[in-house]
Amino acid sequence: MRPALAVALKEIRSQTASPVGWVVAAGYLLLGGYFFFGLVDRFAAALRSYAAYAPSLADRINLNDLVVAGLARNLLVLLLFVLPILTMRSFAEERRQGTDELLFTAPVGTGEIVLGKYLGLLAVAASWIVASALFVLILMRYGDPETGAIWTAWLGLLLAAAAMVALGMAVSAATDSQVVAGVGSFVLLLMLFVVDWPSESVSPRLGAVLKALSLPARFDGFSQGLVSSGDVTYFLSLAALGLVTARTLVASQRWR
Amino acid sequence: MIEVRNLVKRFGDTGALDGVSFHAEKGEVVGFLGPNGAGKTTTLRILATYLAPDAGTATVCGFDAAREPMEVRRRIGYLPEQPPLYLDHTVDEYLRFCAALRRLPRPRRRRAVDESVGRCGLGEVRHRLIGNLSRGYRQRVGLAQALVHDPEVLVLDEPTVGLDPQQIREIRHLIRSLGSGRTVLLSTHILPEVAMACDRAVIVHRGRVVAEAGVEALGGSSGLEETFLRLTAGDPEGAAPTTGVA
Repeated sequence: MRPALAVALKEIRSQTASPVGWVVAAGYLLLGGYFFFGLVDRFAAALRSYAAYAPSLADRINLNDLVVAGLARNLLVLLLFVLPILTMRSFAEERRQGTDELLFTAPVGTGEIVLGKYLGLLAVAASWIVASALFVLILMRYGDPETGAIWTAWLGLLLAAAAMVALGMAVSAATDSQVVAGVGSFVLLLMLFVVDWPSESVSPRLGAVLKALSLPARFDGFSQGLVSSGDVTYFLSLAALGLVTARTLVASQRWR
Repeated sequence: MIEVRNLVKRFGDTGALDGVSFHAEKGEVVGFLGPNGAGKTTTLRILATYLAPDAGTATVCGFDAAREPMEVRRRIGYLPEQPPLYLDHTVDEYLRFCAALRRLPRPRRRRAVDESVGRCGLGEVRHRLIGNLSRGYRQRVGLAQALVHDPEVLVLDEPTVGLDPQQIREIRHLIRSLGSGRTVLLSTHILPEVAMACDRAVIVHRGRVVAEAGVEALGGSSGLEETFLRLTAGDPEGAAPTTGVA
């Protein structure tokens, strides 16, 4: 376990030392802020028009549905773009720099190496997601959103990141080119975002399967304050699938 | 401590090793010589458990590198041909990471890193980023990494590449001082280095051992070049050994 922790800390060190990590984090928060501003603005406009034309209905619109859930969904889409940049280096770069020779000839199991990298990268991703809760803090300062749904939305983002980081690492373990790793994991994750688009036009049974595989569909519950064990299992299964694949790929390149 | 028997390794259609055998005893410094492409790096990688042989055995401290790689990894210090450095780490951070990777308990890590830094003359640069260091310093950081856990067996792939004559001399003294109680196998194509730093030399050519003897028996510092050129004549790449420095 101890070497895994050392690998995790090394990964965090590498990410914080490179400008890439900071640029990506800044981009994520900047775009998140832009979406937040737009959602709040729309909320204010909706309030004004209800107040003018249908005052009795003004109670119906709430901050959680319009702003918090919308923001969480937008942040999820942003993760689709930023997480592949975070994970693309993980194994591809080690191989290109020859540092895999250090890791692979150390008395450390392949599982420990993969787990260490995963924990390090997930910690970096989590720090971005936690930082993006700033927008909600602003909301709480001036409004009165329901906190339960905020917690679940951010829990959903963390779970989605846990799955996406693991899958990105698996792709990175399959190649020694960072670019191939980045593009490959983006395509793979994008597939999970759009897999249910044809669900209306195929047979109901297949449609239900596609819906069940869709990452945003699984996330919707969280953004509305619902935590279902099925959705949690979905994200944890994807994370496990990514980690096992990454471990298998790395082990196949290493002599035991 | 190191026992290599009939090692065979092929990469696709090209044979890299064609039955390499040699040994190194405890406390010995053995030079592993050969022209470029002779199979030096492949042999060392098998010993370090980075590659698996197709046939034959490589034993380190009584453990088979292919069958019990973890036992070998625990006992060996390894400097690959290209030093495996994280350029965005400082020397200190990097060596502490290596010590943890080598499973040194936390209280011992600090002292282990201090000793390794002192031995390799890295005191002045230990808080600088590796990416900003000269090639000679990077090479020494790689060596410090191989030493940090005080291993019984050291496998060094071209440890003096990129160093100036002064540094080569220091490294040679360092390797000599390490030799006591430890087994060192170092590959090189710089012949005077072998004559001065090693007890014995193994010469490989086209994946085979063509000579294994004490340095004196191979001609000592003056005659070694002669022996080397004779044994490795007719190399397809025409790779002449470097004889200049030191």
